[in-house]
Amino acid sequence: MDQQGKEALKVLMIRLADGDRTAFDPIFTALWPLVLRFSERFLADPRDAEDAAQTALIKLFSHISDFDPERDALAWALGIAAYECKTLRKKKQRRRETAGEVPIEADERAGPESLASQRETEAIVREILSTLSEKDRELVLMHMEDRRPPGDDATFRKRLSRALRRFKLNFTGGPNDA
Amino acid sequence: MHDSRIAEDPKERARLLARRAYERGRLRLGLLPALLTLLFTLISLSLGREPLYSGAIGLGLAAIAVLFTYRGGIPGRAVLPGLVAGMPPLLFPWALRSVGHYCTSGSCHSLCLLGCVSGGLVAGFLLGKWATNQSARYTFLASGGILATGAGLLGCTMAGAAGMVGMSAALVLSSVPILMLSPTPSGAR
Repeated sequence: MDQQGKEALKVLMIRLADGDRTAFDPIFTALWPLVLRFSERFLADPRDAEDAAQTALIKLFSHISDFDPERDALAWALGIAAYECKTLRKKKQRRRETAGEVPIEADERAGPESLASQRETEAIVREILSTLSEKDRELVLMHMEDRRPPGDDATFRKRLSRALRRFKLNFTGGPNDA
Repeated sequence: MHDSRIAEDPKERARLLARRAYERGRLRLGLLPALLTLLFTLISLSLGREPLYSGAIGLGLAAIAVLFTYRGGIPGRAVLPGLVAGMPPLLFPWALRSVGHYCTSGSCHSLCLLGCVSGGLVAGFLLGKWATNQSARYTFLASGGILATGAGLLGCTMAGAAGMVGMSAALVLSSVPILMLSPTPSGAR
């Protein structure tokens, strides 16, 4: 969006903040594609991007009366979208952790093929994790997330080493699988 | 657009939800003036005169404040100034009573009436001054005046009909001349 477009958006936002409902549609029409594209760059899953863009615009229009005319309207909108994307990503991460899933972050800059490959790897790792005991699974997940339990580090390393060995054996289809 | 199509199209769904969120946000904005009118009503009730009358005026005032804020524009901008301007006619009679001048239902001391009239004058002066800075100054004055009068009526119940009429007249007489005498900015109505 060029400077002229940004200024026009700001004027429309000021009007809507003052209660002029005729400014709603032009603002929405201008912001939806921008916020959606921005969210798509932030989040790997297009459905998540849509959700984040929708929530961001709902929040923006809900609080538009707080819009400060001194601020850049587009930056304000994208700031809300960025916050929503981060929140959604954290929420998904927590959900995965609670479900004992693999905390693999997709690289958002990667192309569709690379992303598909990442997803495939994630599915395989998740499947192998499910074959491990609960203790081993917890240890491997801690290792992947770079977490360490408080206390005896040597014992943890020994247990982790054993858990990783079992994980690798399952991964390569070794004796544990048989 | 049909509801099922709205549900299918993410953009239309987002538009509908955003519009609803906007309208809810406007209603939420009306909460502060509504709370202010509630406070005014409680002050009026504490004066101990005509609770039904105070309640009815308070309810009407809250409804107008929320409606104006929700609709926005010039009337929306006039809500808080109107309520603030309404404070002198609300509080002057109350203050006069608390410094020892007392009004009863049968008769009221002249100071109560004086409190209402002087409160109306101050309210009108304030509104007139604030309206001069607005683009639609008479619309602003009328909207703010309705709210200031409502708030003033809540305080002037103790001065009876004379107090209420006196306060309203004073408000009009002190506000309109300010607007008429002040230079009209370009684009003002």
